[in-house]
Amino acid sequence: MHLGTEGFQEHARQALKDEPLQNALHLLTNEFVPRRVAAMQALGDPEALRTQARAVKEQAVAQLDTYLEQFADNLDKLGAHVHWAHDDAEARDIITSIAQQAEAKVIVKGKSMAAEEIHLNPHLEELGYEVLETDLGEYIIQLAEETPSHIIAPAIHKTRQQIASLLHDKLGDPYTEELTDMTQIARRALRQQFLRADVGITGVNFAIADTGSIVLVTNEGNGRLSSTLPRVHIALMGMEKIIPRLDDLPVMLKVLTNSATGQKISSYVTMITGPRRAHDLDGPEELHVVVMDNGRSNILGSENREALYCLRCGACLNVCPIYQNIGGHAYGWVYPGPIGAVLTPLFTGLDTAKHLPRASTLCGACREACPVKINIPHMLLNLRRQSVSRGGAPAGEAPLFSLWAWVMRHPGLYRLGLKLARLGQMPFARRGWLGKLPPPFHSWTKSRDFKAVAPQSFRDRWQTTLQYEQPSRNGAGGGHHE
Amino acid sequence: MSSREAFLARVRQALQTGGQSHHAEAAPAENGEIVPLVTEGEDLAARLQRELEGVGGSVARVKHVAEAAQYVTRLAKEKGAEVVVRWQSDLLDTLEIDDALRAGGANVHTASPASEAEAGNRRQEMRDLLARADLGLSGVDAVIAETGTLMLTAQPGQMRGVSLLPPVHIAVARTDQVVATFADALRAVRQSGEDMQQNLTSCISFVTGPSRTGDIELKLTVGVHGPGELHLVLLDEPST
Repeated sequence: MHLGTEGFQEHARQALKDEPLQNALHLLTNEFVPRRVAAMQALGDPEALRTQARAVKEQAVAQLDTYLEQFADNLDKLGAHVHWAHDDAEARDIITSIAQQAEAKVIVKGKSMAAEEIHLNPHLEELGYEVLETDLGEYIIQLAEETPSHIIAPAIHKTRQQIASLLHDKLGDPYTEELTDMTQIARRALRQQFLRADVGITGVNFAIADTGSIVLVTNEGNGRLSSTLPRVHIALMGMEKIIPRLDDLPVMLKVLTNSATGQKISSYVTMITGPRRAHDLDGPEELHVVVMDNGRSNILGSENREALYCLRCGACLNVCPIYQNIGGHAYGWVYPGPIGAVLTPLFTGLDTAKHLPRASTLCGACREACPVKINIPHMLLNLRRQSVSRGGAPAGEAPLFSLWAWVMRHPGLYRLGLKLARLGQMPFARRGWLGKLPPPFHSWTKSRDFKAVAPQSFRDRWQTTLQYEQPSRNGAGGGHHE
Repeated sequence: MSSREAFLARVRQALQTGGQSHHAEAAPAENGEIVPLVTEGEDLAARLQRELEGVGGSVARVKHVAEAAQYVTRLAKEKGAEVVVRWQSDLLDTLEIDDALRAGGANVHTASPASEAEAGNRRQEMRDLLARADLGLSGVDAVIAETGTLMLTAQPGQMRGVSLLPPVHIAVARTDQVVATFADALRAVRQSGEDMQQNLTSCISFVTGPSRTGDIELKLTVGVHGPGELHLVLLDEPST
């Protein structure tokens, strides 16, 4: 189960001490980030692509009602069933009743964050269904009875040895640390289940309004198997997955796979347009598309609407200095990282998740990495403001910041303050940094260092020397630094 | 369960409350593709080969139908293929490959279209065959040069499982089926008839290389669910 968001600070502290996790995160940072940067560069004009992708999402969301209707009408024409779920409970009930009608025993699942969001697996298992995750990472997580720690690489926090033991213990195959062998063990085990399964459940990467198609983007082929072999296919989607036109797909696909894994395209892109047709020799007899709100209309009506543009690519996680250090589980809910720090309070309520929007340096790396240019730092600030206005700030914070603001408005006092600080910091400063401050400033340095006041302020340097220096001759305006 | 109307009413309500002037009108790019990865005048077949090989697929360029058939037969033999399931398509039929494969010791089964009445039994039969097939042999609807991607539609004779269930997938294409970009491939679908939903078929699989995963320590491994090997035989002979 998820750790819960309230203990964020404690979970983060524990994550920092978790050595396997730290190694895995190191790997993630070193692998994914350069891959994505190189891949986006190779696109020629990544900026133009991002602009277009953003515009597509803006339009889709701004006229979401129209596109949802068009999408549903097109699915009706194809003989697919469309279901509307207001919240997680409704979504679970809809899926359960489809499984009941199909007299299902075994259910296979492709990777779906939306299914994680509604805790679908435990629910179906409680009702006696055999539910199998089929994405290798998700399968590993399921065998370990854990939750995913990364949107794209769910088992990134587990080492090869841990996974090898898990496969050996749970499936009874001989122990091996050979990746190929481990993969084949999983392939054999899961293939049997695919052939037995009555129902396949997948997520949706894009829902195309003008054709009624759903698009699945995968590398392993589990999405294809889940939507091909079982008699019934259920696709669960957040309502914001809509894109208006088939013509939007090439661009959206490109930014998604490049941002997620640095691939020009994933191994498999599956575009499903209705259930199998009369003469098809395979494919599901029934297609059910479950369109889910589950808090999204609240976001749509709020100042944080652009959170709905998210493609779930995970690029913001990989570049985030906080995620890079604490991993996904510490965030306590389905969506980790910078976008998780926005989505979690929006979905589950700010009161229990107030620490998440604060777990950011506001460095802006997430916004820069985002394929649809979501302004995550701005939304984090929105949420912080909301949290403070509801009394969510620590008691000492407001008076201290009021004092700071007051001093900033009085230059004489500010200069005096600097002088005092220079004297006062002497016992604490080490190489220009303050690692530990006494009350009432101690809470600031509990989890970060503070830059010590410089021996000479910029103002003083300007007055005495800087203003007399000649601008450098090489390069217009380029300052020369010693 | 929420009714469609109640669901959409909430969305409309939220759109009004939100009320921000977010109404960017994204004009879809001229041809759905603002930055094609291929350059003008580029040799598309060569590009296709480079891209597909780059993601672990293999590409064989052949000059004649006979050469294509030989290549497939040799590969099947190398893999020790006992059960081969293939699409029924004009191109594969012209290869006259079934006898050659059989001579090599393989059982060849063709996913030939069935009447609606027979389809039920036929489906079960093909499914059982595919579950133990060693090799899937398909044609393509198009091949996309910029990414090395096969486009496979689901039609009578063209089963999805052929390119999905067996551990080895061989696809045969003619060079005149190569298009430059993903958007070009979609355009070809659009031009194949008035009814877009009809043209899209129940499923289009875009396949780029073997099945792959990085889920264990981000190390690339192939063949986790789909085929671990993908071979494209590119026939350089104009269609007759």
